[in-house]
Amino acid sequence: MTDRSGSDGLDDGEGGLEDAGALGRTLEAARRAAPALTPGRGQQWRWAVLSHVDGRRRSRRPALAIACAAAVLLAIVGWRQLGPGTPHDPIAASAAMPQPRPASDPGDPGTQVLADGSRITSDGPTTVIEKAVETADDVLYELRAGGAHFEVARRPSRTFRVHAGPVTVQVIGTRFLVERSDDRSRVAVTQGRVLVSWWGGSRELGPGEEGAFPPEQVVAPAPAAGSPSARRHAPEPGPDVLFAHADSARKAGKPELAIAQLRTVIDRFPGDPHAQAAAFTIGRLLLESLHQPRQAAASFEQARVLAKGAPLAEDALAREVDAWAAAGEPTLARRRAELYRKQYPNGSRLAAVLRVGGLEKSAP
Amino acid sequence: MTVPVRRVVAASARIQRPDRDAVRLQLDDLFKEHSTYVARLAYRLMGRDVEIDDVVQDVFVLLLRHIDRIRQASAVRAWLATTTVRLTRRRLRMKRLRMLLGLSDDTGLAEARDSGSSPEDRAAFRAVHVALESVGVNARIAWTLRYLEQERIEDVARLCGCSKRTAKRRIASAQRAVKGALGHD
Repeated sequence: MTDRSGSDGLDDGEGGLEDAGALGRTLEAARRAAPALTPGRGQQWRWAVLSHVDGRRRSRRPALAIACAAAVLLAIVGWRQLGPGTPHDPIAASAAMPQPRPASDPGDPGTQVLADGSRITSDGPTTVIEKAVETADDVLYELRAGGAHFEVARRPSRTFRVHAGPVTVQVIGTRFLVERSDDRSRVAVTQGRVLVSWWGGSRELGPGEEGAFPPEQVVAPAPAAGSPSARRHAPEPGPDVLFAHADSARKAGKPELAIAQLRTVIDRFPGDPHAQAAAFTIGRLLLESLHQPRQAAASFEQARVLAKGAPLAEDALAREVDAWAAAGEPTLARRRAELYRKQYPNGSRLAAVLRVGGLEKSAP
Repeated sequence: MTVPVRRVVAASARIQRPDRDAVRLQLDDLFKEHSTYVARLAYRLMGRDVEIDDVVQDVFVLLLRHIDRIRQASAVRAWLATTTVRLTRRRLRMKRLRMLLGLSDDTGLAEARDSGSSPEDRAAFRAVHVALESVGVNARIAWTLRYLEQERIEDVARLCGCSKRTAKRRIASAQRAVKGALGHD
């Protein structure tokens, strides 16, 4: 491979292209074309590969635990078939659990009403719920204890999420209940659909469906009698594991799930290097897979802020220009392009940024 | 081929231990040495910038997984080239299938991201790849390796996993299409 032209030249006896005049020149020019390779992009590749490797290695032990737990569960289910028992499918109409409220009372002091009309009603005095984020395209609630009913106004351009312990519930427009227990959370849907994700999996719930998540198999089996705790907590996934799961979801053609996992990385590990890569990847997914350039621009901006001058910041700013241009916002694209020119006068993407930002003619 | 054998062998030994730092170190070495080559090869074979991230990541994940099977440092790049060709072939076939089924294929974004070269060079590159759309994936890859990567026929045959005769036939078939499409019969 080192001797590229080789002794046989490039003519294969079928009328080679090398001496074909204009065609030869086209070929020469095509060979000079190169991809946009920046340090930030290289760093992203490296993170993605490392996350994948780490994620695989860590997932072996839980996989074994899941297999063992599944075997135990099968035995228990078989035993209970002989007598009366409760259903063990996480998606089951569980009579023992309280049913979701049909609607909330806006006059209730435990009810929060958002600008878009969405309502969040606490289930009781023990409920601890905090609004972590509320922007035009992203709402995030942290449910720390108890339960809450959610009536989410349908706005496809906005992501509505609820963190409840190890579980993230993502919705577009629906009515549902989330209730925290020790290390699991129950989700019950009245209308619409939600995506419940946790470390190692995800599940969609439709109207009338409910379940406790993560499913029983994911949580380690109960320890022997006399143990101080009734149940061992599931291990908290690290940013690399979450990133690896998001990467798998992305490759499996599930960008919404990937985005949910990546947002969890940013929310829970904002200081970790994976957070900036997660924000950048969300931007790419929104722009390239979900065709939501405005939200993509916001994610690239977040990636730039999180990168704090690291190589990824340059890439993020360049992609922000692409996103604003794709969103039909030439003024914003132009402003970001000017910022890029100011911050990276010798940037590897300068020419493309100026072109997309409409500054090509005024470029120095 | 500047990777010293000892370094790769040592790195290979490290990767077998569940040591996160060792993996990071090894990946840094391998990335520094080969990532640009893999990205460039994937770009030339795919004809667009947007998909090379996935190819590069997949190639290096596979490399880390199989590096203990590569006995000589000089074989690393050849292994990477073969794997890149194989993964790219799969992607090109999937792309064909998607287009056949009428599913969308984002080509517009490639324009915005192709910033590593001049507009004239990119236009020539695109014209060549548009011409190659009309030939089979195997012929497309063989021609690209031969005329854009400027590999020898022997290497094209090895990378494509076929005989020299088959490689030549594929190249000739793609060559006719390129000449016809670019109007230089």
